[in-house]
Amino acid sequence: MAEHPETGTPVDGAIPSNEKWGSRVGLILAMAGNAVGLGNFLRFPCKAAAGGGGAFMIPYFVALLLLGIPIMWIEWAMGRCGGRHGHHSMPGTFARLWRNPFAKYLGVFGVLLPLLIVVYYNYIESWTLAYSYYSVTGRTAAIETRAEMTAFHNGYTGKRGESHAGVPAILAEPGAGPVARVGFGKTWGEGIYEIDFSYRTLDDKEMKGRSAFVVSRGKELRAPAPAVPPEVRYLEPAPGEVRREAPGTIEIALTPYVRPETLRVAVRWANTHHDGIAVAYGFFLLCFAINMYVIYRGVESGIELLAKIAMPMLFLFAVVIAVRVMTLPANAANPAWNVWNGLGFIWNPDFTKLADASIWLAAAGQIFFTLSICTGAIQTYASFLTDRDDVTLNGLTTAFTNEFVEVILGGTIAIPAAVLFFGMLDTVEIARGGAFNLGFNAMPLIFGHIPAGWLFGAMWFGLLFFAGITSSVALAYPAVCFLKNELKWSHKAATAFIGAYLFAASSFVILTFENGTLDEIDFWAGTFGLALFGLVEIVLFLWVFGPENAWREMHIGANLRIPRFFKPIMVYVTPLFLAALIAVWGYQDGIDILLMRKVAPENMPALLGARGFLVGSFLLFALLVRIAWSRKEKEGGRA
Amino acid sequence: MTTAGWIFLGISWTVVIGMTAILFKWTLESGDGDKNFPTA
Repeated sequence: MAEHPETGTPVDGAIPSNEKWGSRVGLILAMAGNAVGLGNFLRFPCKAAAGGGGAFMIPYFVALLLLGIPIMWIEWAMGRCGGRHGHHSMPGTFARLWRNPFAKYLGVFGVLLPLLIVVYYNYIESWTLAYSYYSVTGRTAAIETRAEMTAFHNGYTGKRGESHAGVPAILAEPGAGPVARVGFGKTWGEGIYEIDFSYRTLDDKEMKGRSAFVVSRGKELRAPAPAVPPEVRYLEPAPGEVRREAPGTIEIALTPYVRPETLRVAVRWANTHHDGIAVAYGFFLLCFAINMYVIYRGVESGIELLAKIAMPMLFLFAVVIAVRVMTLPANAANPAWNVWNGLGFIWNPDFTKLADASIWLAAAGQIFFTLSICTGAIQTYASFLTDRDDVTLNGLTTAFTNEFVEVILGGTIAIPAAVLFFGMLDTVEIARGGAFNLGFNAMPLIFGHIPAGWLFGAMWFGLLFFAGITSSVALAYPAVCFLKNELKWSHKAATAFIGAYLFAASSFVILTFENGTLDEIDFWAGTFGLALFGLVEIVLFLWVFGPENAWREMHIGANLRIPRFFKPIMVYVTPLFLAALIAVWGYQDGIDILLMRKVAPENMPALLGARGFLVGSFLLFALLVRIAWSRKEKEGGRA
Repeated sequence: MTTAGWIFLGISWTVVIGMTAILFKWTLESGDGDKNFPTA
């Protein structure tokens, strides 16, 4: 049986990688780069603000201690254990830990789930590149309302229009005849509007008409020849009043000649910010190419070099922006809108929320996502270590580097700036709208209103790009290593295969973004799947491999002795925490998503396509595992 | 920002900054930084 050239241990028919980390600092920065992502700057402040402010930090730190740090140590140790036997991805590592033919197929999830996350994560990452460019060119600075910024973002991601049709409510206006009112779900703003209506007159004639107008850069331009019949007159949208934040409403004054109950109105809106997704696709291709180049360069010359450049830049940009935000003067019109009250929004404790179980789960979920645990990426990075290398101190340092970026920097930028510019009530609404709403709608508006905002905007999206790319290359690398080490492909062939897979799959997500395919894949792969995989890996490492073996494995070459009380925590508490997350996510969202209860009929084909893609991807990688292990059996290796 | 808010901010920042600094110091001291890795 073949032996590992450095450790002398049997390599199970795999090819041990000759890749290694060039420096300990590089390793920690790469691991921290994997952990630090968009969520540190966007998701954390939203969750903290919504979860009881300072009181949120109590369950947050408890979850860090009971869930995040134990899993970090487990994954570092598990990865190095696999690497010792020539396995740099989870199918081989699981097969080593559990001598059961089924184990390697469970390990498929440790290769596939991170790869599936990259499928959509690369696209979101490319938005940061685009918005950085738009900040420099002043394109986003010209936009003045959140509604318009939303329309801008919708247009960028390919949403070209909206349609609403309905039966108007008829209101009696004293002394002025009836008024028909129909709600239009979209907030008024930039775009081309067409309003079609039909009605019957008292002498039973059918009448039809259309009015069109364009709202562009703050000016409303009525189309030159709208066929508005004499019986109707628009009250709303009135000229000059269309740029409001409130949802659009159309009011039409009718003459007595019209039979109000026969009136039907349809509204169509077309985006004028972007003509299709060509620009978004172009930025995606650029982002994708950078990712693949880093992966092609390998561990030391690609991933580690990227981390050594990107992470210091990220720190620098974040500190500069945090200082700028903290030194902004209070809002002149509302002095209570200031950055200190913004900080209070995150830190003022609401202890009543501590009794709410959902806050504890939200905090655990935030720790789970922010540390990028349970993806298989940490194990792959750690698999390039030897028994002389520490994993306990490195793992803990990585976790706290991530916490520094999240708690100190992430909590100091977006929410305080939002309170300063939009006030407390709107900031609540922005935070409830989610991380993207904060990052891609509120923040560009803020930077558009401060001196040298183009520079701070470019830095903000630049740091998000650095946070994103250090995570996406980490998530794609387990699949490359799987093809290299288990199937004995060359690095070039493995990179090309993964590149082709990602390109095809990401293109599908981009083209069907409006149908919700990104959210579908994110739930199954990036949320539910990860927690399930995390539970499986803990059970395999702590229960099947055994707690004593696992504990010993963690302390090989260790610079830090883990306190003994962490052992029962890892064996019992951490898996229970994960099981609770799985149960809650499954109950709250999983059943509805699984049964497609809230899916609009027009989105059904794309979402079924996404599910077919998920199942097909699993079958593809399961087949590759089967081929790899069949070969090993033929060659006399241990499967 | 209330007094309680400042207290929570102060405790959290102290824990996170303090731990990160101490851990980095230990890491660099025990692993020789860039010189002898990974044999340290």
